[in-house]
Amino acid sequence: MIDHRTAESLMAAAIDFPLSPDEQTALDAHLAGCDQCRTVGAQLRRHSLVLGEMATEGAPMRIRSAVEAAALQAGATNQRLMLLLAAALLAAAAIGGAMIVGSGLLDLDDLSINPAPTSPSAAPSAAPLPAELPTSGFAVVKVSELAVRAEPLASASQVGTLQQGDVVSILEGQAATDGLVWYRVRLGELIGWATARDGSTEWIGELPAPATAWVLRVQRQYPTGALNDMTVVLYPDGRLVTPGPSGWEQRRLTDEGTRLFVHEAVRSGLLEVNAEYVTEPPGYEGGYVSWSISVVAEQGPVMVRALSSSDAPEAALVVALAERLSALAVDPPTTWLVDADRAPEAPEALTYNLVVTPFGALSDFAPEQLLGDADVDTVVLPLPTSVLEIGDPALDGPSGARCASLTPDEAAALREAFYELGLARAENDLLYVAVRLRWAAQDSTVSLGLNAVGPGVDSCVNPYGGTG
Amino acid sequence: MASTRAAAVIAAYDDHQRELFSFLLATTRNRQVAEDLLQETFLRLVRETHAGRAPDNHRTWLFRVAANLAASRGRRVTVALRAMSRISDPDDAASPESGYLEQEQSRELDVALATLSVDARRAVLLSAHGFDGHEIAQMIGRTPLATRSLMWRARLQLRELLETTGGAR
Repeated sequence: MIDHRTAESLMAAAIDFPLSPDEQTALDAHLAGCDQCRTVGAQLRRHSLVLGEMATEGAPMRIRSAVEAAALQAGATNQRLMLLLAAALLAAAAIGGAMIVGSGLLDLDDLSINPAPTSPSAAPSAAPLPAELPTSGFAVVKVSELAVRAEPLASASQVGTLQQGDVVSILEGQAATDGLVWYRVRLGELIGWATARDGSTEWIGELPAPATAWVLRVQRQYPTGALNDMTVVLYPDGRLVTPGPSGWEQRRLTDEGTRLFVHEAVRSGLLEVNAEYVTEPPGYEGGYVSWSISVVAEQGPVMVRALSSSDAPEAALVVALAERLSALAVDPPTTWLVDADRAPEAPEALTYNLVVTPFGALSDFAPEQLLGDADVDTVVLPLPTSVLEIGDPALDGPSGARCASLTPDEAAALREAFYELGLARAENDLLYVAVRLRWAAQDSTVSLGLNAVGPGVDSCVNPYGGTG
Repeated sequence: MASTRAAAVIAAYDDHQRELFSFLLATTRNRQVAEDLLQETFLRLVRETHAGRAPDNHRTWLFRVAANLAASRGRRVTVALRAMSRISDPDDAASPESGYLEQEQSRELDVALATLSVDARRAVLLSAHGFDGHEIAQMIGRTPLATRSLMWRARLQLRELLETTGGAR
């Protein structure tokens, strides 16, 4: 006959391992005459069950982002995409999943996308030169042909040629040699130094201020009835901005569920913007949506072109919608409302609308317009200044800490800053850092919160880096 | 091809991150460590998958890797934690997991689990995630006999704590 202790250990062991026939027989014999051990056995089994019902908790989004980036990077055949993802990974590692910011785009050059042509250290920079072109952003080539060289020297080897009208990214500037002023520029994959002027003639000049902005909106209707918006504002100078449930995004990475990579290339006067999104739409249990869209714009009509880098069903859908849009883009009406009549490989009950609204002039561009289209079942945007607040975006949601309330004047200034988002280049002294739209799903109201601004409201730490 | 592999990893993440993270949280009792180990687990999956060695059973593979990472990490930090616990306020010590501990049932269990060794804890938690004794033995790299012994001792220890402190009734 086994003792109590042995009986208990057998009962505990039996939870995970089958007992041998001998053990089972001995245990049964003991239990037949031992109420106490039967109670213990019941407790052991109950605890085992309770353990299986312990609360579970999902991991933070940034881990998914890192895993996904690593997965895509490992398998990427597209070098550009790979570098973008690597950049995102590096940024995430460097700043704990906070944000990429700054004055420009992700600097692919830092990742040696094209190691051959450049050698910045060779730039024999003389006295500091007055800034002429912004050292980030775009500029336009004004002469019929312009050599791109490996170094800022007229004698350096030529790595390519720019044509008149090419819109280049300014990566670095200025360097002065031989009486010439050089900038390091990028056109697509061509990177090198080009002469901007020789003292009197301007060969590369500022890009004329963009005349139009475009708003693309993808709406997702979930079976529950929940509506999820993804809005992208495209500026002809190449910047893409999107507001979403987790805030406005501009080339930034967050761990809160939405991230956006932007890569731009300008070819033959056309601007090509590739954006990749990974979103976690609310109410979409376990679902992550990833899609990519490419927009090609001239100074005028906008063509929307699809560039899929995702297998997600929604990506295919967005691509399909984009194709339909581009077919319509010859003479765009004021507003398109495109209903997807089918959702390829998507869950049955999802319906999609894509709304593209061209705005005539940037000064007309207002958040109200962005969200207030009458023909779209969507939120309204009352914008009393009293709801403007400066919050801490590190604290998401309505409970985000309020740093300061605004006077009407400040609010007006901030709204100016917001509009400047569409006008100004991404310069370090740009007031804008992030604009967050918050809405309460229940009562369909939206408040506009400006999460960080520059001088004048510097009690708010600029949480997104930069110099705010 | 490549994107299929990536998609498989991402799908595995979406399918299993929650239970794995909860498992790691309970095993390591440290949110930062659990996050690190979850990420490391999936980065290993990325490497395996990309090298053409995608596991047949993602779930088992992931739990095995996570359990082993937790154990090796646990051994390394045990000394440090022991030293820290003497000087830190118990409430502070619990705060990283406060969200996790809010559920009172979980709290009782967590306190009890904390008394187990990392090895015992991960075995019992693997069982809680549905693996049987032989699977667990394989996953933690022990013989079934040693695993069985480890686990019944752990279960009796848990029972003693839960029943004598009045918890989990």
